[in-house]
Amino acid sequence: MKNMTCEQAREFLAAREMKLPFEPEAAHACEQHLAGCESCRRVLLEGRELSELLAASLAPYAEGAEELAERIAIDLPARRAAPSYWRSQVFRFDAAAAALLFGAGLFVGWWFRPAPPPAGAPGPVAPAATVAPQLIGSSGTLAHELLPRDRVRTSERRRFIIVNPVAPDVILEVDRQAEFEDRLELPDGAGAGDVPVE
Amino acid sequence: MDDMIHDASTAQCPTDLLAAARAGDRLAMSRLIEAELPWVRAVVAGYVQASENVDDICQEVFIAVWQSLHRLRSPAGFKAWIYRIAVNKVRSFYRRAGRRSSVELSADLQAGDGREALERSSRRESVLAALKKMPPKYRDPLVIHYLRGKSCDETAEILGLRPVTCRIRLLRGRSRLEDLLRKDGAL
Repeated sequence: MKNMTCEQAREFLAAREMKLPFEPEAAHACEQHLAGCESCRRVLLEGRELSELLAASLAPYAEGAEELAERIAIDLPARRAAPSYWRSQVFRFDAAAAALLFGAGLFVGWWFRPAPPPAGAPGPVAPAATVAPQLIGSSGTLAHELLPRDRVRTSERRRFIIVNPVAPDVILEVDRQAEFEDRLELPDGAGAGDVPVE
Repeated sequence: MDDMIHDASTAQCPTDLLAAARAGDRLAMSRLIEAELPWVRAVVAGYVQASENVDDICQEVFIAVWQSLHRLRSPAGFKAWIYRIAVNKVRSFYRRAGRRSSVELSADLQAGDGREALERSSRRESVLAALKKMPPKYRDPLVIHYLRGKSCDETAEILGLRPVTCRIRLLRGRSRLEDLLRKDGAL
């Protein structure tokens, strides 16, 4: 290393002062620099002073440490019992089982997810939360008869939303009356009339 | 049998002491506290406002170490683990007390005997005050390194840093401290 700058020399001096690792050839280059640089020689002296000052300032924290250590050791409370091997294994098993069940639940939910509507089909109609089971009417009741108008979206009003009295929580949606009668398997004439909703 | 193996009276190296302390040997624990307390004390002092709180926080640190020593996975990370506990204890101390850390000089350093001692004491106060003004990432390496002349590798081990990172922080920290002391007229 040749022609060390003042900045490089000062970094080297600080590293040497702190006993940090440095390249051997840097020491020689720094000595050469110091020979011709008065301000860096001053930095060298200040650096030594700083190290001494810093060590002296921190020394009180080491003084009397034995006494304090003894006091702390005497006052140490009884140690909490470490969990036994079997307890920790049971806990691990519980956690693993819970994680497995959660994962299985997610998978089942994904597997039985509703099929997406075919391209060009109207958007989804009233979700279960909108057509609440307690609003169940007779077979073939139309959406606008069951629900307040503001609770039925436009797309839903164009379609039939019906409930099956045999299984009231099953809410069917159809586009035409014939289709709805087929799906409900109602006897002829038992369904609602093909009354437009709007 | 286990207690016989991990007996503090025969345990000499830190690893043996640690194993004995983990097994519940209080004598081994007291030796570990004695070995680690100085730097923990100095690190904690860098964060806290009043010096009388330093020893209380240190006690909390070593109680926590004692209580959860069985949970320490790697004995090699023992010192870094203590360091993290110490910093967390300082934080929880201030959370409990609803206080903020600020610069307050320790009473023992304010006392001086004669002009020379006063001047020396005043310069030490300036160093401690300047250290407290520095960010912990630069202050803590300096404190640990200078307290008992720990090597860069040992300092890095305590702080859980790579040696090269520790070297950079030590150099930058020292340079910052120098600037602060020059501004203060202490250097």
